Amino acid sequence: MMIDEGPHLLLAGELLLAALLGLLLLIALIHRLWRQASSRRRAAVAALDEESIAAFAAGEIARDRLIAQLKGRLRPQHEALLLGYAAQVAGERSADFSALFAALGLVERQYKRLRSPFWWRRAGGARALGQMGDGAAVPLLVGRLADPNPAVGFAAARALIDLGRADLLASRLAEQALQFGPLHLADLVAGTGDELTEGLLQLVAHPSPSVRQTACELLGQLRSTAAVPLLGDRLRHDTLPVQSAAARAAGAIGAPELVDPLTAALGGAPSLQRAAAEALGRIGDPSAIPALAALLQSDQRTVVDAGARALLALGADGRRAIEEAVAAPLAKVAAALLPVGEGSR
Amino acid sequence: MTWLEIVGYGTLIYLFCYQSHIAILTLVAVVNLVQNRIKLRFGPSVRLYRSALTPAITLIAPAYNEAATIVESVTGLTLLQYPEVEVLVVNDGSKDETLAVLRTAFDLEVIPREPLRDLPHAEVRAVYRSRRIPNLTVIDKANGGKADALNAGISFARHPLFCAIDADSVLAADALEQIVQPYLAAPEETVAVGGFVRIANGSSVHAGRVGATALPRNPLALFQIVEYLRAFYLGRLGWSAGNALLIISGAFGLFHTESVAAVGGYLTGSVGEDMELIVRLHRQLHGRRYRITFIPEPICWTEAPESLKVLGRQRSRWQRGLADTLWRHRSMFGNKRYRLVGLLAIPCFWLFELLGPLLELAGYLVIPVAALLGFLNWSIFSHLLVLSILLGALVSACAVLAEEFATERIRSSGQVLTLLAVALLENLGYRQLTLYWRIQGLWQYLRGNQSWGEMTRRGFTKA
Repeated sequence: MMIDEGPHLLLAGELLLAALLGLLLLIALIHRLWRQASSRRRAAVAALDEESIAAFAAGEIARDRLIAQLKGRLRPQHEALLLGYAAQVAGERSADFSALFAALGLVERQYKRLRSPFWWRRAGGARALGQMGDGAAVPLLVGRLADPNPAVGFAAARALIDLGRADLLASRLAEQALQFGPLHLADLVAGTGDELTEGLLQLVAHPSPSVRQTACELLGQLRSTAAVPLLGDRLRHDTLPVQSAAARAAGAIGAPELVDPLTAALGGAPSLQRAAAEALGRIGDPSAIPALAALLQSDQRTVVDAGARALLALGADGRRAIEEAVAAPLAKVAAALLPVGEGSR
Repeated sequence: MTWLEIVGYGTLIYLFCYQSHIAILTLVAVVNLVQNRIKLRFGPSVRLYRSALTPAITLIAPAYNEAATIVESVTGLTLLQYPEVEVLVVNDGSKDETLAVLRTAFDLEVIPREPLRDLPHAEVRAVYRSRRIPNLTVIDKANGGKADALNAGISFARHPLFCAIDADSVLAADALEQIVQPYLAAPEETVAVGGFVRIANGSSVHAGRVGATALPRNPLALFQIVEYLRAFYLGRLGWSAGNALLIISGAFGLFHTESVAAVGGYLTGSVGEDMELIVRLHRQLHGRRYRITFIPEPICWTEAPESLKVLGRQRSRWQRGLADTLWRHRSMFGNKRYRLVGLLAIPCFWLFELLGPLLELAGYLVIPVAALLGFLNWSIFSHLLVLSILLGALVSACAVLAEEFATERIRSSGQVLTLLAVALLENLGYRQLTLYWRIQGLWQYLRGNQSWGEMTRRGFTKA
């Protein structure tokens, strides 16, 4: 029975696969045609209107004239072009662009996208509102920070930064941190400078170890002296990755107040020993020399290497400590650094 | 039921399982690819790479008899966009002028430098640093093979992450920025990340960078382009979605240095060292939260063999490496302790990658005999043949078109059509050739042959 029906089943399978193959090729063809058409349209828009948009950005033509030129024939390519030029201007020109976006109905279009059931449209809308400099969108964007999709929250956060309202984000960072994750937090910090410091300081005590770790790293990047007492706490009591991040941050800030907890951390696990040694080398306090010299007795090559590097950074006394450690089991690892020093990196 | 029927049904079940596994992998990979593209569109911007979160990377490039191309390759590596990177070239006892060329080109001087980890490798004769390029170090060691050279590199690596690459490969300028992303997103869990290895034959290379993408004229290289697209876009992306990736190409992979050192580094003397390391990592990290992942955005360009002799050596070596790894870790087969790796990935590799060639060969031998003896059901046979070819074509088309959707580097319509045609034509001859080499590899493995074999390179086309 099965053998009798076999050919029919197989034929059905063949037809299905052939149909799928055909469909795939059709989609690919449509995609390619769409891409080509889009590229042609972009070129056409650029040829027709880019000169006027550039002139508007340079303040050479009035807003009304550009509105008259573009009204009724706006395409997505225009939006991209306008956003590109808007990103390059500042001050009064920037305000002029915001008014242009509103007059062309582009702002209203983003509000609609923000209400879309599709998260990528909401994210695109949020991002564009920031780029269009629409200050009236701030309350809506703050609401979108808590969007069920983290990408929308992130887009709203970036839009708030674009609108100069990083303060609103900083106060909500503790609620959003878990949703964003380390990559997004780092991106926001990179985009704002130290405006998010207040929020990051709150994150140092966040219940999630990964958030605490990220916060420590980023505060180090910002060289935030306000973070020093909190970093000391993390160095003393936390999980190993957070302690190591706090040590790195202490080194980046160059906090002499943290020499004691860093010296204590030299007695921890190898990864913490390495981070603390590097930090002590960067801080440059000679009182750490005995504790760093003790690292040269370690049976872990990477720890000895980190200790020796830190000692070298501490000058002649540190160098002497390396020379005196000839009896250490891995003395040659440290001694190898002496003639060439940091240059061997 | 007769023996003949049992064999017939067995073959059908095997074919069904094989085709299903390919179809499911393809589906998972396509979903993963689309999700990844959307995430990238709304993800962090490039300014992130100035962040404190970006860890320093040691690039380890083992080199053996690479005098002709080494200067261009190393120059390319030193020009990569990344905040902090140390380039560690390991001269694995080359018999040609590799070391002399490096010494002259980069003004090398001997430095006293000790290894930071105890990993098995042949004797290190000297460590050099460049007077011209501060982040370039060359390790000169006795010959011990690629795994041995990589171990030497890991022993000397100073940074928390290392990237293993082939010295004759070319990394895209942003390859490190891209490949580090999964690590940045989950630093505590990410142990290894694989990047996309693409074939550069036909494309021009200048100053360590690949220019416009073109297709090679050599048909063997063309077939390999489709194979690589299929392997990376579908196979690796599919398995990676379930954290069951069994291989990260030796030509381009990023690893957490201490995690690899903790499992003893690469297995020296192995010809499948890249796969063996990944399977061993899965084996030793089970029970911990960890990720071994593949992403298609970071790109490494490599030169594919264009002669039957060299390609044959490469493929039989790959098969020996596969056999060696699967046999060494046979206790993982079907072992639920290793989750998807033990329950699905390893059994699939055993059944379809290792033993598949034997069954395919059996098919080629049995079908004519059965036809001659009048046992062959021509109707079912022809349907199965068409079905297999259609599924193969569908999968290859997915891979070729995945590139179209996933990258900014657009191939011309002619190139896409050529690749689609190549995907169909590979069933007529190329597939049988690779089958021969794979069986040759199995035979060599059973006879205890673990030699690497000479890999002659033609060198990239200059722009």
